[in-house]
Amino acid sequence: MTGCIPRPTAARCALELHDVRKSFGATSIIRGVSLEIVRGERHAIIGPNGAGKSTLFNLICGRFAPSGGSILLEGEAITARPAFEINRRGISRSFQVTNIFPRLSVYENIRCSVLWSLGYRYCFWRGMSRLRDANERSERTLEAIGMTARRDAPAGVLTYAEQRALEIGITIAGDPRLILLDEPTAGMSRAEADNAVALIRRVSQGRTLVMVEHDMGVVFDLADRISVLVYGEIIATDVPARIRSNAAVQSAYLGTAADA
Amino acid sequence: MLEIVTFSLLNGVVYGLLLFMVSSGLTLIFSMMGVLNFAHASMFMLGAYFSYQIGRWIGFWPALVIAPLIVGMAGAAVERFGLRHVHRQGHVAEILFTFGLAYLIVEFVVMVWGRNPIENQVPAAIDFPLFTLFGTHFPAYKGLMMAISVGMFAFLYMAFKRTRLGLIIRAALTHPQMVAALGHDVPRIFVLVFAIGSALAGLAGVIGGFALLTEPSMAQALGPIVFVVVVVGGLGSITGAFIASMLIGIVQTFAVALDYSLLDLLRTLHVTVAPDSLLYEISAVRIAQAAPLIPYLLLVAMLIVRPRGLLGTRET
Amino acid sequence: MTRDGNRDASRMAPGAALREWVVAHRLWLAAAALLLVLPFLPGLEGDFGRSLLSQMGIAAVFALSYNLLLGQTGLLSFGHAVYFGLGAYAGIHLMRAINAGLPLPMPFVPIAGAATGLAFGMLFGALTTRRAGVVFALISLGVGELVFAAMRMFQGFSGGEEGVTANRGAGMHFFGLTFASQLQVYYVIAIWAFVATALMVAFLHTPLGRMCNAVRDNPERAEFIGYDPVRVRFVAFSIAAMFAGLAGGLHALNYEIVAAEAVGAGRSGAVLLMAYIGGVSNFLGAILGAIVITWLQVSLSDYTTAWQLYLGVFFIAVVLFAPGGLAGLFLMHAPLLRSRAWPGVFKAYAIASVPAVFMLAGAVTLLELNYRLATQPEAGTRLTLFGVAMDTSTPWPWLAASALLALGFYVFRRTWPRVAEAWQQAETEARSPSGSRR
Repeated sequence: MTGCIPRPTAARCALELHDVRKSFGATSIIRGVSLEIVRGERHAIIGPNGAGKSTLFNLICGRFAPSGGSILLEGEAITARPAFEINRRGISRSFQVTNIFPRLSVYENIRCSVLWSLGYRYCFWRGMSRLRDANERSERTLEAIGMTARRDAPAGVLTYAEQRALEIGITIAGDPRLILLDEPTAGMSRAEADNAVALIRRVSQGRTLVMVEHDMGVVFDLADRISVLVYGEIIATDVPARIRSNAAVQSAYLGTAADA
Repeated sequence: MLEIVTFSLLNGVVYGLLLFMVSSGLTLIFSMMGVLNFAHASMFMLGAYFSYQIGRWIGFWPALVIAPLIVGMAGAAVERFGLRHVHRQGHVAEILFTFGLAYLIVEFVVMVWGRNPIENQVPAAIDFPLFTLFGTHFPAYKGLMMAISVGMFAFLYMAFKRTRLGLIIRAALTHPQMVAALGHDVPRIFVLVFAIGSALAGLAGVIGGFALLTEPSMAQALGPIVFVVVVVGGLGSITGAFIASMLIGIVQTFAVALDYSLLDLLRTLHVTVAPDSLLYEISAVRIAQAAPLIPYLLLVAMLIVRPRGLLGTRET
Repeated sequence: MTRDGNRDASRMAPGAALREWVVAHRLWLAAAALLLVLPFLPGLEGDFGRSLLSQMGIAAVFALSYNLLLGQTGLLSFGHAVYFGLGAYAGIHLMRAINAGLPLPMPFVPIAGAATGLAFGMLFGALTTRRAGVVFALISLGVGELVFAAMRMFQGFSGGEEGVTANRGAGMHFFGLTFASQLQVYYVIAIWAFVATALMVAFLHTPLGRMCNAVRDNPERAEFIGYDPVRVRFVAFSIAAMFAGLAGGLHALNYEIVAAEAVGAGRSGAVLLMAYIGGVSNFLGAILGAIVITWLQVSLSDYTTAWQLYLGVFFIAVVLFAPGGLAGLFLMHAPLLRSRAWPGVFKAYAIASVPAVFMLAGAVTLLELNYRLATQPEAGTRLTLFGVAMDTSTPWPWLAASALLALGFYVFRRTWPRVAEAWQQAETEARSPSGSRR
């Protein structure tokens, strides 16, 4: 059941999913998900393991094509388009398993991520050192994720937390309208997670954020609205307070003595 | 006309079965381990040379058994002491290792037997006409070759489908990491697979050495076509390799028999082409001349249109 | 040779700006100076030396183009000689046209090679870059065999196995130069090689060049930052083919003959060898590999008929033990040299090299004895190796060589822990504050 308060009009929706389905062979993973993400909101998707949260992300950003239903970005259909096209329209995602460019330096990782958004495309006639806007945007992103000190390190030798930060950096560097974060604080200590939350709050200012998270502290801290995905279906979408007290959600996921 | 068709078909089948003999082992290795074994045709060559040597010392029938065994052991050694250290560097390094190995095996052969083709005579035991067709003898060794080839197919087919090892190998074709996670000693299986694959190539070499000239460059002549067979047939499919070998064998043999060119066709359509032009040169090519191109055209076409091959189960 | 850094040269005085530029490009200027001076260095002054340098120049451009493909974009190709050879054919045919009166100076011939390489690169690239990895490697193999067979078929164009010839000296005079001398040819090749290298390095520092690296590292992630990996690979492939064609044009100019082997598997294998042995991950490795392999091919064949075997063993050794190639080995030792902790390691190397030398001497002797027996029966049974006369029909050279090999290997193995220890020590020294301050 979807419900925004107030109910969003098409113009206010950054992302719409209409009855999206996905099956792998005979196995149905996503069984008819409909969702409306308001522009500018921070929306969390939670649910037990195997519910299909990562699959949903993969469908939205084009890694797989849905078996049914449609996905719209600000009114334009992006269903089953190639991943790079979807990215060019303004959706950027991070990965649960860190997915960086290991042999490039941290700085190069970020700089590659800004290139298309600044319009450089397949240009091979201009030297990188002359691209002032690319270099400035990369520096600012580096600062935002706090990796300026490690800018020349090859990404493959970074620590886990540094790689997670870089992962977020790559995702936001291109100034996307819609950011999808897949378990951004997975495997982090309390302190690292707090840093990550502060970072996410900063970088999602003025943008739409959808994130998958297991850490309820992070979820209730950041999210404006929460959707609960169980066995490929959304069983509730609402503000955190009402989700916390929702009986169906409690029995499916949170547990009855919910004190998250 | 019937004579040409019959002989082309017969020779095509023989050639196709020879191709299958050589490539069956590679299907196993490539499908199971993802290693593009450039040294596979070299194992074939070693089989031919070893059987020649053993044949001179002992006799043909023992050589038929011993030579493949030696080649199999060589394959096991290659995997155990060489390739194993390269697996973790990725497929590129594996390919390069086998590439260098093929080089080395040729030099080894040159070092022991010299650069010239050796007198690999068909032994008297199988040097008699099996039957006579349209006045031409069909030699018995070719019959033996066909029998061994079909036997290989039957063996591999049964081994894949009926044995436990075959089951593990089939699982490893589509889910190699999972098989390892289930606790199978994947490194040891690799050694076994490489050994069996090489032994099969060696066995093919024993017989194939009579059909082809036994010389150091025989591996390089046959090598690329063997890859074509495996890729066109499809990864993981013995039946696919069989079909692909027969297809290439028959089509190429028929092509060699066809002494027509595009120019002939144009002439019958009363189209004249200036003798000095490039078009003339291209259209003057006879199908028989272009026959060696056929396997590679098939390879490129298949890889573009359907990279998993005819009956393949996965792409890489 | 990085050129990152935004300096506003217009605000400086012209003299200072020039000095600035010279300092920033000092390595390039040094290389240019070296190229100018090389053919006059002792040992390289004769025609042989200059011919060797010319060959190295051609090989370097070819290997760099291959590095662009494999090292920078991650595309393993077994048929890169196709673009080299087709470029060479274009070059030689243009030379023939010049011989017949076309008013074009010879130094411009390689442009035809580059254009041909680019055209065919785009043609075949459009078909083949949709896939990467093993599938791409196999397609390149197939295309290579196709083109080779085609060249042998279309004898009118390719001259078949015997090839097409032209005369480099019979053309329009270029500032009074006739290009009949190897020295002049060397300078033409050197200039083209310098330009090609500069262009390829510049390419790597452009947006597309950086994305080539990104696609090599993680093609999937490249999609999620907006780039189509297929398109990136296609452009990289076409550019690599263009430079391979350029090398082919230089080849035509240098040898004045082009035959079907120029597109063959042997040449594709050779460039793969060069790029890999030199070190596939940076372009200096390609240049190094080209120089070393060319030198080995030319000089080793004078000493022994088994040179191909040695090359093969060298290659396998690199694949097994030094996958970063020669350049990788240098880079591995660079921090050692910087930290001044190297004496211990080099001492260990010196100790280990003694049994290694004996082991190698034994192996080489055995191989040479075998080769003589197997391939040159007409040369008799006597030969001289390392200054020692021996007879292959007597048992003692065989026994001595085997003993050297076995003993040498045994002792060599015993020295490995020492070397490992020395490395450990050097690493801890390099990391400790006193070590790096020395």
